[in-house]
Amino acid sequence: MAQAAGGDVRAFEQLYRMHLPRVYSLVRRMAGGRDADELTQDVFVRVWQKLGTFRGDSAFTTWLHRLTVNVVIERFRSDATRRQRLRDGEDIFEVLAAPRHSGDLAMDFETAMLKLPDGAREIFVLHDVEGYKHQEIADLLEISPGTSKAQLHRARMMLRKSLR
Amino acid sequence: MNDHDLLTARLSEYLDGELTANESSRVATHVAECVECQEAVAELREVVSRARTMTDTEPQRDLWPRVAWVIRAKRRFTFTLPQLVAASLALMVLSGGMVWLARLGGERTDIPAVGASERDLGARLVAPARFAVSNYDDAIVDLQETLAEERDKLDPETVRVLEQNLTSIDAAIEQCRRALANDPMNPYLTEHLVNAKKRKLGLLRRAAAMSMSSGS
Amino acid sequence: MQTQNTLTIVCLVAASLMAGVPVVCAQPGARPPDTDQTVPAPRGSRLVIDNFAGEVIVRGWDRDSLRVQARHPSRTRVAVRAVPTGFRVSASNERGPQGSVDYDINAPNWMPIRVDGQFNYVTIEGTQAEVSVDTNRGDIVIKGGNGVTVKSTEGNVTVENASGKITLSSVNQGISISRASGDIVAETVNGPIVLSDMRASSVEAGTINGNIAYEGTVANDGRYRLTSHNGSITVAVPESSNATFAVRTYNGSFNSNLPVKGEGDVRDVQRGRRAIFILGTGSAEFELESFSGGIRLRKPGTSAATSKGKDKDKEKQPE
Repeated sequence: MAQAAGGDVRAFEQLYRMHLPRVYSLVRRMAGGRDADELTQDVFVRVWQKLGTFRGDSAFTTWLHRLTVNVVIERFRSDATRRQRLRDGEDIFEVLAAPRHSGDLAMDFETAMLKLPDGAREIFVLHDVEGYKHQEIADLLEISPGTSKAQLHRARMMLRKSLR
Repeated sequence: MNDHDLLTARLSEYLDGELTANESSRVATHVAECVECQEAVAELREVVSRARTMTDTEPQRDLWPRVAWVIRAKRRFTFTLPQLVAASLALMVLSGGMVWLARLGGERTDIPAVGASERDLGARLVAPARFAVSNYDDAIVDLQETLAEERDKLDPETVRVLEQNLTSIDAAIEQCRRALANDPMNPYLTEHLVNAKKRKLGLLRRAAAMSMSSGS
Repeated sequence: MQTQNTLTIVCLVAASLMAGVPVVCAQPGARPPDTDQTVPAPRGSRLVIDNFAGEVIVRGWDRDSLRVQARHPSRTRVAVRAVPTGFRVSASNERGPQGSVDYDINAPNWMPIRVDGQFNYVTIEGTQAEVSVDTNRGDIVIKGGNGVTVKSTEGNVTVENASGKITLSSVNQGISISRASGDIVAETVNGPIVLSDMRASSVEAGTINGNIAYEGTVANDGRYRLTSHNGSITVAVPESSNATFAVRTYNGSFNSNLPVKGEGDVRDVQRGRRAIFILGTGSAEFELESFSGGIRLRKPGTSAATSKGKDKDKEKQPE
C-alpha cells in the first residue's frame, strides 16, 4: 500500500486487482449496470489520487467503499430528475407493481435488482447489500430518512417477484 | 388506504426493527392474522437474505489499461493537449479567469478541478480549447494579411508550395470542423483542430520569416 | 581530353605535395575549386555557412583546422571570416547577385555547424557536434551529429546516426531518420516520416498528409507520439517491448499482430475515443493518432501486407 501511495504504478495494479470485484460489483449494482466499466475506472483513478490522504484510521476497504459510493453518486447527481423520482416514486410504484403476465421468463435476482428504478435500486444496494443505515443513506443521497425507508420497501416488494 | 395497506407499507421497517414498540406490536398482531402479510414478510426476509449473500463479479473487459494510462498521465501533470491550451488555462487561472471567460461569449466555464477523470478532463477542457482556437484564428488572420503584402518577395515556386500546403492544412481543418459539428464535445476532435491550427500558424510564421529574410 | 588528363595530373601532384591533407579531386574533369582556404580552428569555435544557393558539403575530420573549398562564378568572392563565435563563410558579388556557390568543407568533428540559405542541397557527415540547417529548397542529408536542427520547406530531410536533441521540420517533403537516439521531433505537412532502426526515448512525429512508420527499440520509460491527419501510422517494435499504446482515430482503422492486451472493444477505436492496448508491462507510452488513416502495430519484419490471416496472435480488426 505504501508503495502504491508512493507512486508505483505496478504496486497499484496489485491493489486494483485485489479490490476490483468488490468495486465493480458495487458500482454495477448501484448504477444499474450502466457505465459500470467507466465508473469502475473512475473509482480507481480517484483512489490513486486520494491514496495519499488515507490515514489508516479505518479499514482500507471501508475507505474504498465510501469513495466508490461517492463516485457513483456524483455521476448521478447531475441528473436533476433523480431526486424527483425518489420523492414522487409512488406513481411509478403503482404502475410497476402491477403483476406481470405468466409468459415472462423468471428473472434471476441480480438481474431483477438491476432493473429496479434508479432511486429504489441505489437505496436497496446501499442498505441491504452494503449495510448502510437509513440516516447514512439520507446524508449521502440528500434525501430524508423517511424517503429512504419508503424506497427500500418499494425495492424489496418489487424484488419479491424474482424469488419465484 | 385501509389498515392492511398502511401496515403493509411498514413491513420492511418492522423486519429491520425500526418501529417503536407500539408500532411493532400493531404490525405483529396484524401479521399473525393476515396470510398475505405472512407471505410478504417471509418473502421480504428472503430478499434481504439474498441481498446479503450476493457474490461479487469481475468486469468482462480488462479495465486496467485505461486506468494505468490515466494515472500515468496524471503523474506527469500533462493532459496531452497542445501547450497553448495549457498556457491559456494557466493564464485564466492567474488572471482570475473572468476576462478570458468573457471572450467565450458569456458561457460560464469552471476551471477544471484537479482530479477529474480523463473523460471529465476532455469535456471540461473543450471550452478553453475553443478559446485557444479563437486565439489561433486571430494570429492566423494577422499573418495571412502580412503575407499577402510580402508575397512578391518570395519566389513563385516557394509561394506555390506554401499555398499548396496551406490548402492541405485547411482541408484537414475543414474535415475536423465538420466532424465537430456532428460531435461537438469530442475531445480528440477539439485537440486535433487546435493542433491543425497550430501547424497552420507555424507554416505562416515560417513563410513570413522567409519573406522578411529574402529580397537579397 | 588533354585538359582533363592535365588536371588529373595537377591534382595528383598537389596531393603528394600537400601530404596528409585530403585534396578533393572528386572526379576527372571536375573543375578545381575557385576558393580553397584553410584556417586553424581553436577549440570551441563554431561554423556558420551562409549560402543563398548551391550545394553545401561539410565533412568532419579530426584536425583542428577548417578547410573551405568552393566553386562559384568568377566575380563572386567567398570569404572565411573570423567572428566572435568562430567562423562565418559567405559569398558576395559587388556587381550583383552572388549566384550559386558549391562548398566542399572539412571541419573539425567537434565543431558545431550551421548552414543558412534559400536553395541549398546540404550534406553534413562525420561530425560529432551540433548541426543546424535552415533552407527553403533542397534536400538535406546529415550523418552523425549530436543535436540536429533542420528546417526546410521543399526538401527531403535524411538524418542518420544522430543523437541528442533532434528537431526536423519540412513542409512539402518527407523526413527520414535512422539509427537515432535521443529526443526527436519531426514535423512535415505533405510528406511521410520514416523512423527506422531507432533507439530513441522520446519521439514526436507529426504530419498532415503523410504516413508515419516507426521501427526500432522501445525505451522502458520512453514516450512516443505519432500523429497524422490523413496518413497511416505503423509501429514495429520487438515483442519483448514494454509499452502502452493509446490509439485514437476518427475515421480510420486499427489492427495489430503484436500480442497486445486491450480492452477488447474494437468500437472504441472510432470517433476519436482513446483505446488502450498493453504490451508487456506497458511502461513506455505510445500515442498514435490519425484522423482518417489506419493505425497498425507490427512485429519487426512484418508489413501490413503480410500480416493478414497469417498470424495466430491476437489481431483486432474492425469489421
